[in-house]
Amino acid sequence: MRDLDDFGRYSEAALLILVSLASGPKHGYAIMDDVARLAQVQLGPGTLYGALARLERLGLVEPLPATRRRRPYRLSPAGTRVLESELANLHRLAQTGLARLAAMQP
Amino acid sequence: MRGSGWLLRCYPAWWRARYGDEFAALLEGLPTRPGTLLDVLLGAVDARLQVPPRPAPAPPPPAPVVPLAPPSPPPAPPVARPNRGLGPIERELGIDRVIREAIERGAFDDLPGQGQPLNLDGYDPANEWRLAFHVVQQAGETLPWIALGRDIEAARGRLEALLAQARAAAAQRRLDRAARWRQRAAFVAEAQRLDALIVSYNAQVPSIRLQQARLPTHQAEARFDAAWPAG
Repeated sequence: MRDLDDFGRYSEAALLILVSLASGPKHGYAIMDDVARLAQVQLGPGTLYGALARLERLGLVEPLPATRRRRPYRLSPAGTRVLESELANLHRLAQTGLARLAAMQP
Repeated sequence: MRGSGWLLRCYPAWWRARYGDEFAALLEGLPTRPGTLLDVLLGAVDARLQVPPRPAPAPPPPAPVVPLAPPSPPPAPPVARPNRGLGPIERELGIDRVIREAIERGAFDDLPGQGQPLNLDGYDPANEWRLAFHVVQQAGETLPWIALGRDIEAARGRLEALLAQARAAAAQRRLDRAARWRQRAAFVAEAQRLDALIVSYNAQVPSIRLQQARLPTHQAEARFDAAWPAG
């Protein structure tokens, strides 16, 4: 399965966008707003569209018809699978890290 | 965010055609900040390094109905087109060509730090506009406020010419009050156009040091009256 490893400096933004779209289609400004609230990360517009364009090219997100110059995007089925896989990896990493920290306690 | 029009022109044409409208709408809703500007410029550099996506193939023609006419001769075989590497880039700008040729030469392969995060620790926000101007100049664009500055110089020239005419008329001791009134009205109208240009210019220049003094109507009237006093 394709993952976000090839996204370079856009990989974190791409993951945040996929998480944001998991609650429903959003346009660019709504994604920035949602990501700022859920992860305290302020995505710049250039970073947002750099990541969105890559996600669209790989078929992980799909553009919807624009209304008043704002185009919403939604998760594609492939994007949903990639997001599940990425989050499962992060979850394993977090569990391992927390377990190791717990073992460190005196 | 002001000036999003010329920022958008830093992106390649194919990118603007696909994302330009929604991206401009997004920029218009954001405050102008150095970090945002740098982020957009880096996005433009990134977009210029991307291979333009191939256009979606045209849908197949509908199945032919039973032909009534005799079948036409078979179509000529398609002419092979030379492979242009990055796909159809028409009206290629200077920076596009330089980057494309560099990529084709392999100039960006195996550079030190390839694949590593971009380190901007040494980035100096005070130089932000210098970087922006450089990128825009390379793209063959003139900044709107620089073009406005030229318009202002031209308008100042027209005003000086009108003042010279007024002084010449005053020197001839013309007592035609109607002619003086017409010239005064023309001078004030030109001064108001100049003042509107200065207001627009001052709103666009990147530094307060570049702003120009306005020419309010009462000052314009006083200048004309000094050049050609009434009766």
